[in-house]
Parts: sequence; C-alpha cells; structure tokens
Amino acid sequence: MAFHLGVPGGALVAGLLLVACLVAGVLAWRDVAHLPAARRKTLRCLRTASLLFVLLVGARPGCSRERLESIDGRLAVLFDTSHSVSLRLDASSRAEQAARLASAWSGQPAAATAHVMRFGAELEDASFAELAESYPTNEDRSRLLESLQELVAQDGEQEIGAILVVSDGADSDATGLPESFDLYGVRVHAAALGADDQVTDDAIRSVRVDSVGYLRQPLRVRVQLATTEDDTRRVPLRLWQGDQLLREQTVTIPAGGDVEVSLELTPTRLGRSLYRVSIPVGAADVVPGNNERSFLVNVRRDKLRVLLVTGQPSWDVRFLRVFLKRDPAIDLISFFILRTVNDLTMAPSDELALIPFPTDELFSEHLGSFDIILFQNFDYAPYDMGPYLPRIRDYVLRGGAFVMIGGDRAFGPGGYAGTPIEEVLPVGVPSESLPPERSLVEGRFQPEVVVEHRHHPLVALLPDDAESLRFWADLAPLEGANQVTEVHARGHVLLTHPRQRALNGTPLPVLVVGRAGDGRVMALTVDTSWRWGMASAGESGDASAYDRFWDRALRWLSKDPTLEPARVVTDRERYAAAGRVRASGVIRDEVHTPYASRELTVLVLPADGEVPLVSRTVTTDALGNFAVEFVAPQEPGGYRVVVRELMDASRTAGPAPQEATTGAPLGLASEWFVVDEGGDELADPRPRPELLRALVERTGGTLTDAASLPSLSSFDTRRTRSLGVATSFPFESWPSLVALAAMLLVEWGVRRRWGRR
Amino acid sequence: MRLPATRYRRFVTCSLAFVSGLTSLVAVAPTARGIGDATRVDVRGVALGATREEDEPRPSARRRIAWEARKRTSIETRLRPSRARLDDPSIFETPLLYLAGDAGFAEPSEAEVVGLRRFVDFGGFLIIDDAEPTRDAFDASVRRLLQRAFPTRPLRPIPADHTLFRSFYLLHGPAGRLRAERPLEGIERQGRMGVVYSRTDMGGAWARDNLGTWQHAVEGGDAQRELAIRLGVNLIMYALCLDYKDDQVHAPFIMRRRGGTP
Repeated sequence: MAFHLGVPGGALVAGLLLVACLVAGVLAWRDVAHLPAARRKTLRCLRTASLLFVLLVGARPGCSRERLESIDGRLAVLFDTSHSVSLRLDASSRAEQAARLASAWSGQPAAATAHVMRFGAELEDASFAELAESYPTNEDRSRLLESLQELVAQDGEQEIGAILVVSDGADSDATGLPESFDLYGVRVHAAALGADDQVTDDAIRSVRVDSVGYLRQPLRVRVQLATTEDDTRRVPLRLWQGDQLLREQTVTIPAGGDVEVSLELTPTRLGRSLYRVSIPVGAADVVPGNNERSFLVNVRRDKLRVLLVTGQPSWDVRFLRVFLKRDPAIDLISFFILRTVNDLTMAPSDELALIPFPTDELFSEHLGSFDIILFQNFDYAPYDMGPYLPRIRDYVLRGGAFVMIGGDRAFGPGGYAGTPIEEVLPVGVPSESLPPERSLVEGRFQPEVVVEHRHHPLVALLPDDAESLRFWADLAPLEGANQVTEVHARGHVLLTHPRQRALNGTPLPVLVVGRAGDGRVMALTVDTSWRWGMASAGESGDASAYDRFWDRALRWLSKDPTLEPARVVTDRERYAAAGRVRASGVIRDEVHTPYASRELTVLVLPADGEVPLVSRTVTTDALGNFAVEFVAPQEPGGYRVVVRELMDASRTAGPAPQEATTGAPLGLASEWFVVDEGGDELADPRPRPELLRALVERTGGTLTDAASLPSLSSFDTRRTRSLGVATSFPFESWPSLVALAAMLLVEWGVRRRWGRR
Repeated sequence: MRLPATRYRRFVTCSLAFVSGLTSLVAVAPTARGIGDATRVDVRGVALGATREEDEPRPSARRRIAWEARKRTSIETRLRPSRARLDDPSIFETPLLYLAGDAGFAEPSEAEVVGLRRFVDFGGFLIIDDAEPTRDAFDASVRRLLQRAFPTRPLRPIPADHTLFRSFYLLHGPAGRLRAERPLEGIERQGRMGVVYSRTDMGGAWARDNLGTWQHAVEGGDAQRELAIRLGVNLIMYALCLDYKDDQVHAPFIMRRRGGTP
C-alpha cells in the first residue's frame, strides 16, 4: 500500500496548507480566549474540526493498493542444454539425469498441457520425447535468468502459472539473483541437476583484456584463476603467442577460492594477433578445457600519423591544419613551404624562422610510419624530390594512403604527369607544359554529387540520401579547379564541376577516390574546400560541413572499419568448441552501392590457413544485408569468417570448401573469432543450487533434487496475477465537502447566536 | 596652350618617375599565381560606418604590406585589397580583416558587432592598428567594440615568445611608426589569436606612395621600419599558418637562432 497527496504540487503545497491552517487555528484559538469556558471550548472545537477538514479536503490524502488475484495457470518446463550439464562427475551425468526426468514426465497426464522449452544461449521450443531420446548439451552459454524473463515476457496472455527449471543453476551470465529480478507472480520450481557433484578443478575463470591494443604500448591482461581444491595451489601461469612463450608467472590460488593476476603484454606487430594463457592440467582436473583460454587483440597505432606537405600557406592550408591539429587521435607532421627561391626575404637566414625541408628524413627514413600523406598544392621539383616519388608510390601500393589537393602547384602545374605519383593517382595528370589557362579552371562553381555514387561515405554526409544531396547543394561555392586528362578505371568520381569538362571531354572531376594496390588514394582538384566551413557558416551559420567531409575522408583513407563498404560481424568474439555462431553483415561495392540479391559464400578459415572448415551460401537482401548461422569448429584457436563472392557465378551455388579457395574468389569482408575448448560456459563447472534456491524462495516455488524424479502434477501452478493498482482519495467526495460546509455553518450559527460576528 | 617652363619640367620629371617606377614594379613583381581570387590572401580593410577608403589614415598601408608579403614569402596576396563592412556577409569569404584608425568612431550597429563575433568564431583573424596611439579616441572606440563583441574574452597582452613573433621572421616584440611602448594585445579563440591589436601605427611604417616613397617618418629610422614590415608579414603568415612554428620539429632550429641551446 502506498500513500499519496492528491493536491497539485504534492507535499510542498500540502505543507503550505498545513502552515496556513496552523496559523488560522492559532488566531481562531486566541479570538475566543475571553469567552466563558463552555462557549470557548465549543467554538474552539468547532473551529479546530473545520480547519482539520479544510486541510484534509485541500491536501487530498489517498492511498494506492495493488489488486491481486490467484489463477491456476499452465506449467512451463525449461531444460538446461548448456555444456555444463554434459559433465559426468558421478555414475550419471547431469544430462542423463535431465533426460531421465524428460522420459518420466513424457508419459504423465500433466505433460499434455505443459509447455516444454530448452535454454542455453537461446530459448527454444522442445518436447519431452526428443529430450528423453537425445538430450543436447551443445549450448556454450547458460542464460538461465534471462531465459526466465524472456519466457514470461513472451506470455502476453499470462497463461503460465509456474515454470519448472531443470538445470544445474550454473548461469554463465549472472553471479547471483538481482534485487530487481521479477517474474510478475509466476512461480519458479527447480529440479536441481548434479547438486551434490564434488568438482575438482583448477580453472582460468576469465580473461579480461582490451580488444584493441596499440603498437609497442603495454597492454594489461587480467586473468582470474580459481581452484575448487581444499589446498592452496601454486601454478605457473603462461602467456603464449602461437608456440612462443611470452611470459610465465607463478600464481598462488587460495584454497577453494580465486585470485586475479595481471600480466603485461606489449604488441609488436600491427593487425590481429591471437594470444592464449594457460595453467597446467592436474591429474584430477575434471574440465581440462578451462585451463587454457585464447584471446584476440587488434593491434593499431596509437594515433593516426598524418604527413601534410604544402607548397604555400593559404586559407585551405590553414583550415586543414586546424582540423588535423584539433583531433587528439591524429599525430600531425606538417611542412609548409613558406619561401621559394624567387622570394626576397630581405633578411639573413639567422633572422628567419625557416628550417630546411627534410625530404630524406620524411620520404626515406620515416615514410612507412605515416598512415596518410597529403600533398596540398605542392610541387615536388624545386625540392629535388624526384628520387622519392617511386618510394611514395610503393608506400601507397603497400597499403598507405595518399591525397593530392589542388592548386596552382598541384597536378599538371606541379609536374606530376608521367611520374610514379600519377601511377597511383585516380586521375590522369596533364603535362606541365600545358598553359595555365588550360591546366587550371577559374571561376566559382557549385560541385555536384555524382548521383550513382551518393552512398559513398565521403559524400553521404547525412543519413538520408535526399538530405545529403541538398546539404551539398547549399554549401558555399568553390573557386577554381585543376584540369585532369581522365579518370582512371580504378577511380570513382564523387563530385564534379557543373560546367567544365576534363581534357578527355567527360565532366571535370572535383573529388575522385580509388585504390592503388593495397592503398587508398584521393584527388581533390580544388584548393578552396575551406569554403565549406567558414564561407558556408557566413551564409547558414553552420560550419560543420568542412569538418564532416575531412573527418570522413581521413577515416576512409585510414580504412576505418566502420566506413568499410563490406562488413561482417559475429554475435560474440569467443565461443566454446562447437558453439553456435551467428554472423551478419552488409555487403556494398567500393562506392557503397548495396550488393542486392547477390549470392555470397561465407567461409570459416583457420587464423593462419586458407582451407575452409565451414562453408555457407547466403543471399543478400535489397540493402546488401545478410545473416548466417553455423557451428564453431571443435579445435580451440583463432578463426576468420570470410565473405566471398565467386567471380564465376555458376560456382556460387554451393561450392565445396576446397573449391572455394580455387574458384577465383573475391574477398569482401572478414572478421575474427576465438574458440576455447570450454569457453565461459565451462569456466566454472560447479553446480549452483544456491541460485536455484534463491529463485524458488523469491517466487514461492519448490526446489527438488532431479534424482528424486518428482511428478509433474506435484508442482503448484497457481499464479498471483496483478489486476492493477487501485487508488482512492476518501476526502475527494461530495459528502466530505458537505460535511465541511455543515461544520462551517454550525460554527457560524453558534457564533452568531452567542452574539459574536 | 604651352605650359610654363617650370611646370613643364615638373610634368616631365613626374612622368618619367612614374613610368620608371611602374617599370621597376612590373620587373620586380613576382608572378601572381593561384586559381582565382579566393586562393589569394586579401588584406581586407574594415569599413566602419560610412568611412570611405580614402578616409583610412594610411590608405596605401594594406596594399604595401600585401606587396611585401608576396615579395618576401610564398604567400599569394591580392595587390588590390578590398574593403567590407562587418555586417557584410562577404567577410566570411576572406578570413583576414584589417582595421586601422586615428580617431574615435561611432558605435557600430548590433549587426556589425554580431558580424565581427561570428567572423572570429568561425575562424577569422582581425588585425587592429591604432594609427594615432598618442591620442586615446581610437583606442577607446576599439575597446568598446571588442567589449561588445567579446564580453567574456578581454584583450590580453601577447607575450614576446608567442608564435606570431616567429611565424616567418624572428622578432622580439611589436614595431611600427612609433616606438613600441606597449605590447601587442590579443583575443584568443580556440587556441589561436582571433584579434591582434597594435598601438604602434604599423600602417604608418608600411605606407608608400605610388612612386615608392615612404609616406611617414619612422621614429627608429629604416631599421624600425623594416621590423614593422616584418611584423606585418609575420601577422599575415600567422593568419595562414597559426601555430605551425610551434611544431616540435622547428624548436631546435629556432632555439639555436635565438641564441639558446636546442
């Protein structure tokens, strides 16, 4: 039952009303102080009662009470089919106990109305007969509490009266019964499996480590070790990468308890790396699989290293530098040419803040350390950079990113025609000998998005296509552009000039992106993109377009996974052997146009092998999305899910695993996952009857031992159902108002009768 | 009609001087580059109220510093700088403004104040040059304007080790037609100077007539005039490069040239 105050403003207003009534009461009390005692008492009583009634009618106190009813509902029977019930620690395993129960119950009359389900990672329908015949234990999670809540939530008609759980109670996702756990009146009964199991086991209960690590920066791996033995254990904990032992530490585990150990790991290679931690397997260890756990670390650079080289200071340079410097995730190295040989500084060099351009250091020693190189209106020839251009090309082909931004020192005027840089650029560069009036285009223009490439993240700046196109159309116009001879086959034009034509007659490209080898390249043929920021802000008050564009550009160039056109993800990162893996993803082409209704092959490959262990054929929907389910391999280790499209369509219908590697496959997307022999499910193999006991006590059910083969009809299926909350305000009624009015009237009448006004 | 001999000689002398000046100008002027005007740096004057260009205290100053910046650095400048009012949306087209004066000015309108605030907030850079620092009228007007535009960000002295004193030339402080008795002042915005205020009449040191003759005497002579020009070049360079010279790679070189140890 809950009490309320119905007056608007609640306790505050009621409090003020109380104060007002008290003040009025004191005044009324004093007002009759000189009267004879009988009259004084009468009037004081009448006035006090009136004020009390005023307070009650005004504050409107009330109470709420939940109305409940008891109904006889259906019985739902929930069988635990997770790995942990497969453990055999006695004459029979927990699964055999559960199968015996299913067999016994299948012939009972109550079985006809019982709703039978199984749970593990998921909640699924089952039957007594199938469970009795072959009891599955293939789930690598035990979501007991979540499954109970899911089952009750699915019961919209509130037909279920009680749930009978057949489980060892070893919920892999919950450490105890939360205070907030509520099944809305549904009773839970439990038949405990293996409640008396005596488990002897040393285990790695958990491994916690960030999934992303940074090159040459220590990474902390937290390992929780536990033992069920009565003696303190001293075990060597080892950290491995492949067959290489990285670290070993002796750990003392208290008797029957656990301990957390922190290991340090320093990644030395970029990309995904598979590590494992292990402790020795004892002779009496019932679950050897939980003595070793694997984990993946995606090793990246701590910051995006960007090299910005510019041929002259300009507004374009200034705004790009501000953008790059502002991002703490970017390590910017920039070199601006502040003076050329033609400039007369009128000062000796020691009065100038100029430094030599360290070409050899940048383009020979440290070239490989950069993630992105930007040439902004930069001509290489005056700085004797010719010998370095092949290195830059090779850097891109090996996976680097290169951007050329326009200006009168870029593209054709920059002398890049026929150089190794042109080999990787997505556009053809006109000869340096072309006169400026032909190699440069003057005048303001509003670049247009190439509609068929509108999904590309560099131009899809807003989630909605139409809004995004309008967004581009409303930006401040650009001014001037560089000419190009053509767009190479590997280039994708995203923005074009509305009027001008390239030298081959096609619309003049303004923004072109593409791949070169393993690298990415971008050509922006203007040097006024800064106008998308400040100049647009002057018109609309919104300067965000510039930042959005360059943020997308840098992320795309650095292969940010969230901007990849094709992605596949698994529902978890780690599974137990033969666990159920759900993979889903989206497949788009290089310009992010969805692969609609395409047949793809999803393969599971070992971390360092190419022979598929699993192969599935899936068909994408209209948006390029797909989903697939398969069973994880038995062998512990790292694996890749790879999505491929076979070039020969006739071979996509169902290639044998071996064929898939030889059928000229086109790799579209991949993701890693780890298989542990035991996984989280067997990390702690002890039964947890205490969780089952807490459940039945909370819900009014009963706990029985599965070995006692209780009858189905012995379980109480009455459910207490809520009919809602009834709230009443006793003083919010006509009789109360009439009583108040009568009381005031009597007080007034008596007062007048005794000659008082 | 024949001109008197003295007037004729003066006419011929002036004509020859003009032609030779023009010729030398064309011969020395670096080739203008860039794609269109938006690429080139415009040292744009601020027109407050109804002030005309010829009413600026040093009308040639902006043109001359634009010329010096183009000649001495790789910056492409417009040799015919433009002017705009603070409430003109076109101020966002070129992020550098130059406001000079030698007398107080009428209170700018609210639209002008808002325009200045948005200009600086969106990335603009305003140079203010007091052409008559011995009188306080212009100074008082400037401070009122800045107080209205940036009420929470007062002008603060710019220390001598600030980047703008080493953005191109290595300088040790402000310079102008008059000796610097006060430091440069500035208003910072998002880690950069949005407004720089000089009270040394930099424009007076920059100003030259069409024949190349300096228009105003400078207190410290040619050496101080050169420092004032260098400061002007540094200011334009700072507008374009901001804290580029604070990058770690520059530190050892600059320390060595300043006489320190890297």
